[in-house]
Amino acid sequence: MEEELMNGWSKELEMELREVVEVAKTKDFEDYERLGNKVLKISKSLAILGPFLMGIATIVSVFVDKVGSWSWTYLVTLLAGSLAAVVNSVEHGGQVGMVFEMYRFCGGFLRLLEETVEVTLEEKDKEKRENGEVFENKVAMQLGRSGFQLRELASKSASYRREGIAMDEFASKLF
Amino acid sequence: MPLLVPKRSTRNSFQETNGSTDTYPFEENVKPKTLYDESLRNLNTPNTTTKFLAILSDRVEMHHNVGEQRDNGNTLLLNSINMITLSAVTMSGLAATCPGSGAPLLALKLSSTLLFCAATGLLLVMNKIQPSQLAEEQRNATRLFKCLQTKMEVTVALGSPSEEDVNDVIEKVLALDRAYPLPLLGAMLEKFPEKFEPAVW
Repeated sequence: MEEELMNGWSKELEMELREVVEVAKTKDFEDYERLGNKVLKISKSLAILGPFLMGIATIVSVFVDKVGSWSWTYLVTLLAGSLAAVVNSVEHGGQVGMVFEMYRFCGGFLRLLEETVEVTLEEKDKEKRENGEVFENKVAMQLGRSGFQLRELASKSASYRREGIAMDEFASKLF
Repeated sequence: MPLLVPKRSTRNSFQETNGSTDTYPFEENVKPKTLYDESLRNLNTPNTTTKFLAILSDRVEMHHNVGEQRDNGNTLLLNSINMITLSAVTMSGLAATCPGSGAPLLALKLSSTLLFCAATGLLLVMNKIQPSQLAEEQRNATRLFKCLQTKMEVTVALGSPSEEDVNDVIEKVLALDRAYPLPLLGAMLEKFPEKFEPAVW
């Protein structure tokens, strides 16, 4: 009863939120970092490959001459030019840069969530905090879960840690 | 379902929803409140409310426009570079197969080289600035500014904002500005950082 009076906050709720933040930090954030690095690598190599091929085509096209017996300049120009067009289409038509930026945004979003929870929990005076239930629901909805699912996630993560198994679920269900 | 809606109509819907915020939704909510506060503690409050409302002005619209512009740039640049490359390839192919030597061979060769040069230059610029990434940045900025605007509206609707609220929002706007800069030259975010880092705002 007394716990209920403290602006909707209780020990369990604090533990639960800490647990969720821990999951978000170790699972989700790592995942975004891995994917982001991968996409960054792809984007970078495509960005270098495109102009490189185009440069080859430019230089060799100067030497294109009549097809005599077998002309390699002809082959190289056409191949390099077509390949450059393909690479360019993949990079900018597939919007690799946008995907990278999206991962960056999601990473930032998780970081913000983490900070919000931490700042709220650091406030010792429970009356000054945001109402506990409202806050729990807010965090839950930002992760694409209901309050109940959030609680489930927290208990699952806690029991997994006790038994020493790696967590297999992501905190966020949205992206 | 909303993904299937054609582009044109989504743009319209943005305008519409934005139009609704542009019709000064706060004013009706604010007026009785400020009058009430004025009678309570005189002078100071309407001042902070005005200040508060003046902070964001039309940032949402601005970032949305810039994002659209960059998205457009991406499409146009991509199409023209591909067109240029393919015509250059065709030309050099023709040059190699054209009968006899002389004027047509030289003309085709020259123009294909020229087109290749132009395409290389454009491609270099495009790969350096990555328009699709820039567009996505601005989309995120639009979203966050809109979020901030809603928060401000709520604050105003619940009561007049204090001096602290004003400073808080100003700080948030500045942080967003730093995270999503508008100009391309100088302030642009590094498109190929050494390591993945989350956006911070």
